[in-house]
Amino acid sequence: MEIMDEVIGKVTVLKMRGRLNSVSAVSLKDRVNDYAKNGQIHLVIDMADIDFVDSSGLGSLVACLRSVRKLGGDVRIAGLQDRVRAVFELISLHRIFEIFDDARNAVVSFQYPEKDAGK
Amino acid sequence: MRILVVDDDMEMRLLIRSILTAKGYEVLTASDGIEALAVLEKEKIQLVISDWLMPRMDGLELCKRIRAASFPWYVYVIILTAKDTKGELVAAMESGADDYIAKPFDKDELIVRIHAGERVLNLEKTLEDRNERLSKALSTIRKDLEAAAHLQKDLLPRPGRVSSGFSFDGIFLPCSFVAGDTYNYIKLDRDHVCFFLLDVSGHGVQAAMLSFTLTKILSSLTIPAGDGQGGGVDRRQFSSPVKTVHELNLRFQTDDETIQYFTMIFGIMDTRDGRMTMVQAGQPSPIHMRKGEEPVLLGSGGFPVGLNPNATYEELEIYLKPGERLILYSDGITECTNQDGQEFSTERLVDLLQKWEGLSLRSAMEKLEKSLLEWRGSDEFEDDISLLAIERSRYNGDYG
Repeated sequence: MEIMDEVIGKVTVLKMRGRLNSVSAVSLKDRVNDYAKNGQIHLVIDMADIDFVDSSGLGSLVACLRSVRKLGGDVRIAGLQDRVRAVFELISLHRIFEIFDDARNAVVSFQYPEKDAGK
Repeated sequence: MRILVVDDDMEMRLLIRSILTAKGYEVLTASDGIEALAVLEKEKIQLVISDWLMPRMDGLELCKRIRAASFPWYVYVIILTAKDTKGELVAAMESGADDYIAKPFDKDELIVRIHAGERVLNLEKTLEDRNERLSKALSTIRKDLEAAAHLQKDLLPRPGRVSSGFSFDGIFLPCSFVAGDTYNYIKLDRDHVCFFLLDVSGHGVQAAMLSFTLTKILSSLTIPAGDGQGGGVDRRQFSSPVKTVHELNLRFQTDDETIQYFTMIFGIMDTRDGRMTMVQAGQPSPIHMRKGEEPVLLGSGGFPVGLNPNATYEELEIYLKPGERLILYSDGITECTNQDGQEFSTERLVDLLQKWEGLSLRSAMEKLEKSLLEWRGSDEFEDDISLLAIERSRYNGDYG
């Protein structure tokens, strides 16, 4: 899977497209590990163009979250499509991740933590 | 190495033979294509040096016949001829020759061309050996997987009735030999039966290993007496569903690298009154099929097991009344896509279950399995498919 990224200040936004499954899960984990090594630990995963996530994909998101939080950073999720949001809620991931309507609000939440915009 | 020399000119045959024999090759000869084919049929020969122009069957026709014959080994063919134009070279190669030497030929060139041929044949042999090793390995793996799949199916309960008028049935279709899904029901004591359906993240062997382990652990919650039906034990101590799932969650916390977890429904049923307490750990909502009323999707989710050490769980409670059914299923069913990429969906599952409410549990399961296969258009699924159905008999009371 192609993962695009954009650095906005201290925040790195990752954008993916299509299906987050066992294959793309590996690319995502590798990519996030690279960021972490590089000191990029404030991550936003923009999932607006992800229309399917399977159990391995969900596992990879949690793996990313764990590795980045250990370093004092965070992974925030943005732009969930309805059916993906339903899966997130089914397995209570909305209680582990901070989830935002869109990537912009997620980026702002890192820059102005007190505002908690658009959650 | 053995070489077949084909030439209608006896002097030429003898000349080439003496050159090659001096170099340590074993040489057979034929005077035309037809003779050559007869030799090739009988002997394992991998290198042929053939003249082009010969009576009965010429060198090009021989080449074509050799290629068409599909010998179990590769036959390397060098065409030897007085013709020496580009057009001839193309014709020889087109007919399946590997190399081409113009007459009159140089002895050293002949030897060098044979060496080149030997290199190709050696490569071919190496490839063939590797292929053979690979296909042996593949067949071993396949046999192992088939055996594992068999073992896994054996772990599943057979459709049947536990005492007190409760019947169980299921659907199980692994997507690759073995599954990360499994389900079971176990009689705990005279009045209690536990049941579960679980789905390990991912699928294939890795998921199946955890699924095997979990089946073993969950099945030993109680030691069934004799026939596996819990026999004559009146009372037994066992943990509540919340406590069981909580303990599993602590015990099976994933490491950060592999992130392996599972979703499950784990429940205990009191067969005296149909009271069911269940924990929904990230599994799709069970369907409660009620008599004469709309089916209900129970619960709204919950943490999977193994993903979050601080997860807490809640219990759902329902009463299964006589004639009602409870359906547990993996997302492999609802997310099963047809050829247009459309999902089977929870709505379709509920509709079909409702449509077949009047049928026996077995017939309903058979029809559902059939409609899943039809929906998919093949028996190759992208995710494991499992479903556990529990039915309380229409007639209240103990008749099992």
